[in-house]
Amino acid sequence: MTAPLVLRAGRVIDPGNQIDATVDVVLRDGRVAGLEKPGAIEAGARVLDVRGLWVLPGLVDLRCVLDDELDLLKAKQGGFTTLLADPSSTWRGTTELRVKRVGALVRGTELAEVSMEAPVALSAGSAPLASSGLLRRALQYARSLSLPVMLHSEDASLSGRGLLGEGPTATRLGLQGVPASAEVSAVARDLALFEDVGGRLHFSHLTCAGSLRYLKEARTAGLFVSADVTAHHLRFTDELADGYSLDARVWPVLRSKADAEALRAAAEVGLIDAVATDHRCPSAAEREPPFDHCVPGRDAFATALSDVLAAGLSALRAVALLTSGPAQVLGLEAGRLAVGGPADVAVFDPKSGRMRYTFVAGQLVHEDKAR
Amino acid sequence: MARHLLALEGTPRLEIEKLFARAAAHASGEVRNRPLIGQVVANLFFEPSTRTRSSFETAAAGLGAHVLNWTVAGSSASKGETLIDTVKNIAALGPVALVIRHSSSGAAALAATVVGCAVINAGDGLHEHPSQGLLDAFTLWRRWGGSLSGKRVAIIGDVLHSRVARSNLHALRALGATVVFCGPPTLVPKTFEALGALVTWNVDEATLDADAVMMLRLQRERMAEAAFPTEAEYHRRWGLTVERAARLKAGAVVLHPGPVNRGFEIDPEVADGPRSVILEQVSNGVAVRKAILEAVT
Repeated sequence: MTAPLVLRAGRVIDPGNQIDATVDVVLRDGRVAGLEKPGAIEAGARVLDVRGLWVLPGLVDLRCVLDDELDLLKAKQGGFTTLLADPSSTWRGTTELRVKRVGALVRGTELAEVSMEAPVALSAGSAPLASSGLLRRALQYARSLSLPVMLHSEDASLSGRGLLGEGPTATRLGLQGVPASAEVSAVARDLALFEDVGGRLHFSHLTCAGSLRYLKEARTAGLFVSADVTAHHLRFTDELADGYSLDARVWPVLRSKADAEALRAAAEVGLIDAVATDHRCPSAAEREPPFDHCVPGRDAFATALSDVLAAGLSALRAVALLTSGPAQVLGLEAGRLAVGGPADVAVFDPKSGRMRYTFVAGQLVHEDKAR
Repeated sequence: MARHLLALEGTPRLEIEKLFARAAAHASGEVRNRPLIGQVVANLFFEPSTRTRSSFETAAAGLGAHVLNWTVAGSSASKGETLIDTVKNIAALGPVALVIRHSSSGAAALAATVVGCAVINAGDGLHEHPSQGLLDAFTLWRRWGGSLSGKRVAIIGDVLHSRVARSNLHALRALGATVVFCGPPTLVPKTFEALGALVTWNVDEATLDADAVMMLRLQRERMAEAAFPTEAEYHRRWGLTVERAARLKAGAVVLHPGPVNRGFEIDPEVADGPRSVILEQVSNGVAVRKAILEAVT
């Protein structure tokens, strides 16, 4: 038995347990040993004063590309303790973080062989499906595995060589636009196929107000479908591309103010279940300007929570979207501070917008020394 | 700090008119001094160009500069050298100005961040072609006695893929003119209204009351898919035919940035007819580019 650690008098925000209060959190032997009134004495305990800080369940990410150790380091810096690695991830190794694998749904125009790495879901990454027929077969096949299918919805014949959401900014900058219908029509089609085949469907990184209409209708009709958005699509719009800023070179593309507002509203009321980071860091050479030559991506772990807060979501909802929300989408035992459950904890400094500490199974894996 | 010419968006009227006054002096032949003697002007064309490159070359030579022509053929661009590397290397040769054309929107502005000399945008992707926008506006300005206020200019064709249309929109509006964009809906989206243009898909509506009509070349190399059924239909619905030209307002002029697809977007009789100022545009191009080179160096 190791000495317990008390995180003293922080603001504990644990939406999965409907807690938002000043509480001491006791960690012992890799588990949450108790949530107690501030000041409680724990024999032999080390005490970490976290007054003024937020104590959160370790964050859960539904979608990221992990290529090397640096990506894992950044995840720790962002307070993430559970990650779902996109099938295109090349990193293989050991880490304190809980990394779960998403298996490839398709390979080219055919079904992919199911990964031996015990995937928790299947996805085709950020590539549009080659045909409706392929998607129908993939949804049918996934049912026999009882795995959710996570879809990137895009009609490639509409998105073409687009670089930014279609609108005044793309027009003015001379960047090829991607019409909203490239996503919305794919969402509508995907839902029609899903209604036909059944199973469990999740939409990754939706960006358009129009997609939310179809999602809402499907939910109302009782379909078992969930969805996430990225933190940057909540916070930013196509105007971020002004001056050809490469911060705006992401995929899917950034969209209008009206779209971002619709995403925020849907995230606040729960039509959107989770925020995913879509963290993907291409090499420095791949991220070189000009805009159209730059490979899309975003170094997104460290800013995920602060971006969602900056988008104007309430603290409780922002934390839910990054903890209990994504955990629920896949039925993971994560994203809440259950007594007896794993001591995966993130401590956030609302003043700096940075994570002060990250614990996985009670072990400190990140400390912000720059404060 | 070197000055650059990267875009016309946001350029104030006074600045444009000052440049026009100088260009007019060049056009009338009253400028005798050659301020760029002993200097190098580098033409960096990552995309093929004959007109713009020759025009800049003539202008630079007219000011006494030596012109270094760098084109993609036989260059290291095909060997994977990045745009930034190439620009830095050419800049290291010590030119007083770089004239750059590239297929990426924002390329000239990017070049301007990595070199110490002046950068002149000779076309960046679908974004802008400011020297063309200036020479088109200058051509009208001279024709109309030094003012574009209250004039109506119709720009017809592939506006979506046209950097010329965007530069013209900004320059003409800054000078007080109204700009009407027209062409097939697939090539003239309504999003241009947010930039201050009027948009119509009916060519007769666009040309009615127009003081000038500018026909754009169809940039077939930039179109991934067909944006209209056939060339014959395009000519019929959006081409500046002899019949349409005859219905233009008295005194209305016809422009084309070239190269012209005769019998397609414009009938040969119109391109060569009394309303055409196409060759004036070419001559004015040299005067305007001289004024630009002087202004940035």
